[in-house]
Amino acid sequence: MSEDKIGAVLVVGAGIAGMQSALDLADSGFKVYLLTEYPSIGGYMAKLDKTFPTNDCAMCIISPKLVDVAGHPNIELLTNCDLLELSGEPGSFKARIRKRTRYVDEEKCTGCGSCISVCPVEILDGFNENLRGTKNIFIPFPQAVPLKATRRKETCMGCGLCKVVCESGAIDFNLTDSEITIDIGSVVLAPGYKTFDPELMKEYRYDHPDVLRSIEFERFLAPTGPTGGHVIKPSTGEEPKSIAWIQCVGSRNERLDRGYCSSVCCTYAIKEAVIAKEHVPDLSCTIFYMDMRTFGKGFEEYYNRAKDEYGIEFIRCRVPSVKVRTDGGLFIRYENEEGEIEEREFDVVVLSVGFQPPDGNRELARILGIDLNKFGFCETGEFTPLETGREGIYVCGAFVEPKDIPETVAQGSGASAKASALISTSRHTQVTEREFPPERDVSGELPRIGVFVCHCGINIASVVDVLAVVEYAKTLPGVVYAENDLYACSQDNQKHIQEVIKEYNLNRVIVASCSPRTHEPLFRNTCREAGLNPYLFEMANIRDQCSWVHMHEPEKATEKAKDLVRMAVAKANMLQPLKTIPIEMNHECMVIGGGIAGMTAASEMTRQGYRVYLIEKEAELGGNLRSIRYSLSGEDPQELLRRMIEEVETNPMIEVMKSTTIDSIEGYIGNFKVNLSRNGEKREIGCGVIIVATGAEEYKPKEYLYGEDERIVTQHEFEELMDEGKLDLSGKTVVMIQCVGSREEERTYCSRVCCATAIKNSIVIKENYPDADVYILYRDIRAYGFKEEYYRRARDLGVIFIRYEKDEKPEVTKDGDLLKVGVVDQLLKEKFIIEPDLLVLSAATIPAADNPRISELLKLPLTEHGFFLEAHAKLRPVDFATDGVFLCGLAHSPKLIGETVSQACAAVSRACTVLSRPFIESEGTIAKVNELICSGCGVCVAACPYEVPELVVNERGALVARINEAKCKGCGVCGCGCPSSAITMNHFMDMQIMAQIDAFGAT
Amino acid sequence: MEVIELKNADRTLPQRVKEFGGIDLLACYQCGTCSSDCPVGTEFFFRIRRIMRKAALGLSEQVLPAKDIWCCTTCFTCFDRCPQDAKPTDVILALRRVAAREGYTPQASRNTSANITKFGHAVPSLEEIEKKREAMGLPARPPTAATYPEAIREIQLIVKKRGIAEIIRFNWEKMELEG
Repeated sequence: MSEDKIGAVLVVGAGIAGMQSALDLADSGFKVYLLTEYPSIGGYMAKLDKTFPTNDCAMCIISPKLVDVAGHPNIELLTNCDLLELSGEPGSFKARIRKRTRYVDEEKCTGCGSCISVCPVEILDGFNENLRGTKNIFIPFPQAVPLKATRRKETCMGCGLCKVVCESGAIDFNLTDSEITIDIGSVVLAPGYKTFDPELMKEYRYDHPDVLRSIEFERFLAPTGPTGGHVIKPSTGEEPKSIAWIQCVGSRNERLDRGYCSSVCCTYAIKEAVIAKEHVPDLSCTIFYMDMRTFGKGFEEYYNRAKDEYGIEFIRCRVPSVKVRTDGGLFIRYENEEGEIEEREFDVVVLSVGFQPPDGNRELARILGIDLNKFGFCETGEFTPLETGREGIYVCGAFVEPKDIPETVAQGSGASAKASALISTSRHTQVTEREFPPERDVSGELPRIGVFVCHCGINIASVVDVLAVVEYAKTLPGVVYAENDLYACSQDNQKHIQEVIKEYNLNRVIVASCSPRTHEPLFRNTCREAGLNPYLFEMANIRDQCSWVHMHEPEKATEKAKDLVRMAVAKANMLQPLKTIPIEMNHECMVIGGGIAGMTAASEMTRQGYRVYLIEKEAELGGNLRSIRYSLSGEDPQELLRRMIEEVETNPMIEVMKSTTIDSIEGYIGNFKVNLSRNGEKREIGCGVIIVATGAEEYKPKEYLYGEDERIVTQHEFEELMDEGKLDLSGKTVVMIQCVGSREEERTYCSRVCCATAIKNSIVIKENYPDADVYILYRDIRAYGFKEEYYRRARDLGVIFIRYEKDEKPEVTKDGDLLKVGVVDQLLKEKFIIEPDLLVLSAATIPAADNPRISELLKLPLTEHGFFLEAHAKLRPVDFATDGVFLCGLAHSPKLIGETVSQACAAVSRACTVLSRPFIESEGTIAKVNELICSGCGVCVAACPYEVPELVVNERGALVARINEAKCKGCGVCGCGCPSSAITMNHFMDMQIMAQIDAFGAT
Repeated sequence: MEVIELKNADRTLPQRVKEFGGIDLLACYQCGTCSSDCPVGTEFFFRIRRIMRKAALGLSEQVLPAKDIWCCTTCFTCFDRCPQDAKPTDVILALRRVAAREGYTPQASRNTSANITKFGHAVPSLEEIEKKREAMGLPARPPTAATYPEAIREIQLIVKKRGIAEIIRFNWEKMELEG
């Protein structure tokens, strides 16, 4: 191990996993090189239309991340690059990288798109899955990062038109590939996946124009896709009347050496069907499946809504082939659940293609000296999903195992924690803090407003008359300068805006372009660079609100753009500089819960160099892991338990507090005060961040005679009995019943772990007692990812799986001393009677009983089921909406050990983005109380969702509300509610808003 | 609805199927691929998935005496399509072998087997056809094993050595089937 560790990390792959890893690392004091072979970052997520289970627009939620990466001072983008060699040792590697030329000078290219518009050569558009053409010199998609053109040499006819029109002289056909070598301390692998090529299954007739891969269908749904979001039957261009989805195309298939489940296809097919139906209300949508694997958080409810509210039809049969009639129409023949063979015609058939390792996986493994599993994914351990087996190289996302976006994001963060732990002593050594010039005092100056109206390439200018808006802006009060910009946000334009600010002595800046959600931080920083307070910036969104929504009414769109600019100018006239204040912070962490999630988080946190208080309410550490005695892969969970307990108990940077309960938590990010009790003894501790790892519990069934006979046990109880040698199952019969207490009206969610657990335990039984009979009664086998392999193994060992229906549950009775289980086999429609010697119930995973209290103490929301609710289901899976508090493990939702470890590392990574700062900076846009007017009524106290305002008696003896500047989120609820108008919102003051409204009315 | 006590199921059936060539019977996860594309299934109530299911469960009394397993044309479509590579056609053939040993060979198959044993060909030569062939200038008998006494003797040797005679209950003395 190198002594001088390098505080920089190479992230290979720039999809959502790589981006998340890069952002976390860069935000916690490390330099990041983000490498991708593609011309833009974004990966598959950028291609998706919507995301399940919230139906958020994928581009809308990934776009801010793209912008964050693009603008981050500590992330260096290496797009269009290949990793050639890695040498050195953990902590001090050298990576040799080939930069493939774009034939476009990235420094000079502004991404204006002129070259694209004149290029006469059309090639297939890979971003749109080749469903339409793009030009030979292209930008993959409008939000691409970096927004730079790339020329394909192979297909270029060399006419040079692009060079002629490029005003910045960026295009140079003589540019060549180059090599660089970078010094890094560790590596994160996030190369993602590739979708299955249905050419390998000719029986699905992918050669037919109306048979689509799911990712192609996704592009048809997307507004930026080949049909602008119009769902069509490709052969005719007409709207389809019926669409079928065929699941498991290239998944769960031993014949094609893809014996794993791709984990996401069930839920994405549901999403595509639901969205398609929203596009075409009369559309008939049918999903052919084997087992419906909606095991993620909120997925089962999504499935139920698809059935009950959207009328999506689900047919349980694997479709063997797609057939084509002589007239070209498509039909499918299948055996229905009554055993009848049916034939159905469909206008479009969507193949739900599975995941496979990315191209170049073997080369990557060779370069890095890591192992791949038999399918070509990265080999990792069941309990160490982020580790490649080679120190200093960590892995995340779909390259580990097929997975959905939230788990990918969590692993992206988790791998960041692993990669930075190794080099934590070199934190802040390779980064450049952005320094801004001192702020100019603008007080007493009359407003001097500059307006920059953006073309956004053709995004705005093809609809809105940008020049007319500029001319109009010049006539508005306070405006001393106005201009049009091709891309207001391009890097070179930032320098230009700064020069204009200085030249015209501007003291207010307006950019009329896109959404402040994505671009306000960028322009605010530009103002700061020019010495202006960032709150002297205002934005008008003339893209989303004008050119996009009124694309067919250019004149009205232009008028509306003028209205928006006029309103922005009215507000800008009233803008005031705001101060943010640095607040001292505590750099210690409190972890609540001493199960595997909490212990992993605590241990990882100390590897980052931060001290931890680990709070456990029980007398012993370990949580649910204490009951888990077996694993699928044969690793020993109890060895893990012993190792983790020893690690946290002997770690000098962790103070373990067992039998300890939390009485109160006060404070805010950076400064929490926690009151604890331990056997009646009180204590107060302080910390800067909190990780909630409070776990969950195994449901104690009320069903199936549980508690009435000692031969009826739960899976946890089974593992303990088996492990402690209390069971002799030789020649015995064991029945396991799945979904006990899950997927029911009162508990609609899937408990996720029970299928893998039952499979695992059935294998344990068969391996120890080959002559035992094991029956697993299930509703859907949800052996997602590589767990499918173990499902197969269990069957090979002779475990019998019998499917039952929710409305026709197994019956457990006692006949004298005999236990009897009756179950109706859904295939044969025959009733089986089994006489088990042991009945094992796969009981639900239910939220910890303590969750309501913890949620109360920390003001954190719970889901309808009582698990903790993260900040965003997709992209912030381990964050809370409350800053400084993070989440991992079963407290979030049911999950397996490896998934818990990933999330615990993720929570640490997220927490380090806070702890690595020297101090906390307060927001400028916060509420202020005028104590002279405040009547102390307490409306604000009741209204604030973050419980910030407090009623206090001030120096004058009056009862007034007081707002903690560090805690206030600036949401404005208190200001709206205040009956005496004593609360004003900085940056959204009444006079500012009224001026905007007045300006709207004026013409 | 039929009620089946699984304790009475024939635990040995999956193993016997395996021994007779249906090596991956237990791999089946009941997806329905085999039934859906089965050319026989479109015309008759013949469902390979059910046969696989019953065999795996050890429901010998339902599977072995039933005609189903003899309906398969061994077209191998299911074999080619099965995503678990459970080789359903091999399972069917294995089940026939097991069923035959338990005396469940259908009469038609016994007759065919007897014909092969006796004449070296499944379809015995008919005098009328021989005349027609000669009229057309062809040899009276087609050039199959039936035409060559030495080949017939070899076939009979196989039938004896492989225990086929016992399975179809063929009486060598009378050179015909018994019962």
